[in-house]
Amino acid sequence: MRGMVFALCLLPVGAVAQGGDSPARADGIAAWSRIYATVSHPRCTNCHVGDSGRPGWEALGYGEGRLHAMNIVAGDSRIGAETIPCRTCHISAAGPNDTPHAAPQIDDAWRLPPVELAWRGKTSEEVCAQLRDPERNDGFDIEGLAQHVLESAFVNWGFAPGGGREPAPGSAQALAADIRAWGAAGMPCDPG
Amino acid sequence: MGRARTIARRTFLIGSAAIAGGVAFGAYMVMRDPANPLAQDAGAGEAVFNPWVKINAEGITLVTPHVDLGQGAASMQATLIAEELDVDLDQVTTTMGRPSAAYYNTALAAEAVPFRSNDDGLLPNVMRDTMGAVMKVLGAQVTGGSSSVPDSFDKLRRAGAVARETLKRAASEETGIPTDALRTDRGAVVLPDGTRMAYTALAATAATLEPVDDVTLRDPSQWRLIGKDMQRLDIVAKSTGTQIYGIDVAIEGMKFASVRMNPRKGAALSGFDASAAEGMRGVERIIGLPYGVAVVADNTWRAFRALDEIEYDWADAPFPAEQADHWAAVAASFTEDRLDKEWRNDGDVEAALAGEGTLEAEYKAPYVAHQPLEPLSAVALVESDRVDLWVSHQLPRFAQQRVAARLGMEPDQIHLHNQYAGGSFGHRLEFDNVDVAVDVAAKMPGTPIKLTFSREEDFAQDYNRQIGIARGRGAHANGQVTALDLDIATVSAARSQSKRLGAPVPGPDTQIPAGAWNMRYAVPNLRVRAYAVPELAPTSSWRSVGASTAGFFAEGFLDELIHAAGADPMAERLRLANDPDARAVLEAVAEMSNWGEALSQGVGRGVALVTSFGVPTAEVVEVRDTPDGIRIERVWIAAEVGQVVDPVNFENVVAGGVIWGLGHAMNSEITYSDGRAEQDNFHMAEGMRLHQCPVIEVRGLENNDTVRGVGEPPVPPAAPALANAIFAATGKRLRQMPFFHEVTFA
Repeated sequence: MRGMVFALCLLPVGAVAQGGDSPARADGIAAWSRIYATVSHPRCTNCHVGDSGRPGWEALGYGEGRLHAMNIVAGDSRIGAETIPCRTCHISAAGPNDTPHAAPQIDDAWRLPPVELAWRGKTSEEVCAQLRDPERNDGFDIEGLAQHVLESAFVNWGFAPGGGREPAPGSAQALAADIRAWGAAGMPCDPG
Repeated sequence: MGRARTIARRTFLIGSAAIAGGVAFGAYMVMRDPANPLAQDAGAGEAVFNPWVKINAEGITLVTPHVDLGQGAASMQATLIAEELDVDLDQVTTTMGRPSAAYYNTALAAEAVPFRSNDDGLLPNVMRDTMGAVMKVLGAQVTGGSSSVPDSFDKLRRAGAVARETLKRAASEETGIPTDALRTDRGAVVLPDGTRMAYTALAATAATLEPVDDVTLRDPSQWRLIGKDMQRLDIVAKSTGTQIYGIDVAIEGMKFASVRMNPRKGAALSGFDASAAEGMRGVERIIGLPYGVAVVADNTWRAFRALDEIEYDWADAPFPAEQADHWAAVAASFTEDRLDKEWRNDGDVEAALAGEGTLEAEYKAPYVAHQPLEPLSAVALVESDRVDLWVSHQLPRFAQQRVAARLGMEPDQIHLHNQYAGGSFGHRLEFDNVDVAVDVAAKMPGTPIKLTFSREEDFAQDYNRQIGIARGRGAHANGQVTALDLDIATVSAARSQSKRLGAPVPGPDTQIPAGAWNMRYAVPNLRVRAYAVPELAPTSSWRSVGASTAGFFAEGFLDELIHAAGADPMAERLRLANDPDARAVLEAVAEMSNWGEALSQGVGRGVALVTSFGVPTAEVVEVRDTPDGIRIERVWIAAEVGQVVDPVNFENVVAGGVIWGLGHAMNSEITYSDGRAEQDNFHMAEGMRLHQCPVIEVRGLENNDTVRGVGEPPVPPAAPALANAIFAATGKRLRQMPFFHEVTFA
């Protein structure tokens, strides 16, 4: 369930800056903090979940820790194939998404990201380490990640979810720019 | 089988109505012949043998008046007729027929009188017969109370046999061969030389004959269909998405309506402002009604959207606005003046409770909605001299009479076309959809109006299951349960429902303590008292009715007592069981589950035995305590029903009842705030899903000679068996449904 181009070249692990923070590294840390503010938003973490396969329904007015109702589980397939396919309600065609509580529609097959990309409940450092590891970021290099957030119907929906849902902070363009800046700075993760 | 066997033949009124080219045979257990509803519509060349069998040159039609709600009633009824008629189900068509007194329900009476269903004494039987007579007078055509099989079992086989023997006589008339030399096979009379005369070809001759009423029902050893695995008539349609349910009915020229009624159930509409909806696309009419507003549009969605734009001024709820006050009203009802009846008082409870080893606990059961997947709907066409109504209803004759009264017409001017339902669970015993559809259609005579409730409206307008509290006291000594004292206070769903039907049920409400007072245990000191809480929010019958709450109270608290006594939950129940059927179902689930085998860490099992609708049903649930929560892994269930008609459907209905009972116990409740139900869709009333579903092993026992239905009995033991299993696995005792408040389910 990748649906994305697998990067052929793997990134070297980012060089660790010698001594104090260089200006570039400081920019990288700042960029990462903005990235984390976005990816830790419920619009993202509702789907970046582990092998429970239970999507979240946070920031929808149902309270903290709320899981997707109707006991929905995406299963190992991550598309609900074992029980009820996600597409039963989340139709694979762009929709206006203007009705509160109606299943969001995008021009892609609704699904959960791979288990390796689970980061719901994880700290900034944990997610950071994950995102710079191609084994745990769906095989992307930095440019691949930037392109992914620009092109992904899921990511773009997260910034404009409609129906009164709270959007993730920022925009796809700003997120892509931050990813590139973070990459250029060597993908620093320590808080500085 | 059963009581019908004992009814003398002379009490069967076997009438025939000669009609043009057809015949009607009636087999009614009444002294007054309800007109054969089939005879009224019979055309030339049609033989109408009785209210259930119609044959003409084109084919054989079997009438299955118990509405099919998903439980397989249509197939079951057709099977019973076909067994004796000697046709196969691929040779017939079925219809639910029209509402008629001919289809009154004789089986339901058994549950309506206050005697335990296994009590065969003189007085109970007199009372049952009295109730049966009342049913006849009312002509109550009821689908409910797990009564479809018991009501049909003798009656429909007899209907098939009468038609078969009359067709043989018709063949004898035509050929001169005596009937003794004729046999029947697959829709034909077979002559000694093997010549086949199709029933369809014999119908016209049969119509000229007196019906043959001297029929003997076949011995079970000769059955071709009953007790054999069958494919339900609707299985292909339901598996391929082509089944037409009530909500799918399409009548040419129809308009689409929806309604918003006061969400404070039962209260009026004080006023409304529809100006924002008037210009909306597709909106054709906005109709103010005493209880709400209906929109008629060119499709259902546009009617829904328009209703959202209207501003409403709703009157206050006729009951406490906040849930806490509902609980308080129940809790305040354990008083002498609200004692509905002391149902059991064996031994000396007070003395037994005065000693050592006593226990007290309080149990609670919330309001719960019916929430079938198919929301309420109806199509109504009102014309000057007739009304047609396409709706799925469990009380079609009541609906017919209600519509007639509403419009000032005669019942026979109301043509109700009963439809398959996508579940009901008691939801379709009520009339809101019928009332609204007819009210709107009456304002647009000549135009068929298709009314559809939104899911939210369906939830908001439901008549929920009774809310209740039980207070239990008990004692144990020497490792045995010695006393059980259960005070049960619930609102009376039976009174709420029968009041709306205009036929208040007299006497104590059997359903408040159902599943508890009739427990088949010889607890030496046993007292069960029922307290009737004055009506709060309106309530109605919910699959298994009283036993769904009182069964939970009784079996949960008994389990506490057994554990306090240090006894084994299965062994102590078996020791207490005072009835061979109850013992047999317990022994069955003990054997099926290999009760007593070593279980791994974190695994627990619970057992419960509840009798409802005359069916003792035992259930063992096995759960595992996992890091993700409680996982229900396996369920074993056994029920004593006298006769399994179709093993495949039996297993499906029982397993479905288990899933339904467990799912609601886990997840479902209705709570009120501002006089409105807070839960308005399935995200707040979740069913059990496939990934949570345990492996379910079902066994039907046939030791008893009374045939019973199994639509409801699997439900009551599910909740207590689950709670008891969770206690065994975790040490946590659950005394209030739904369980999700205290436990996470994986």
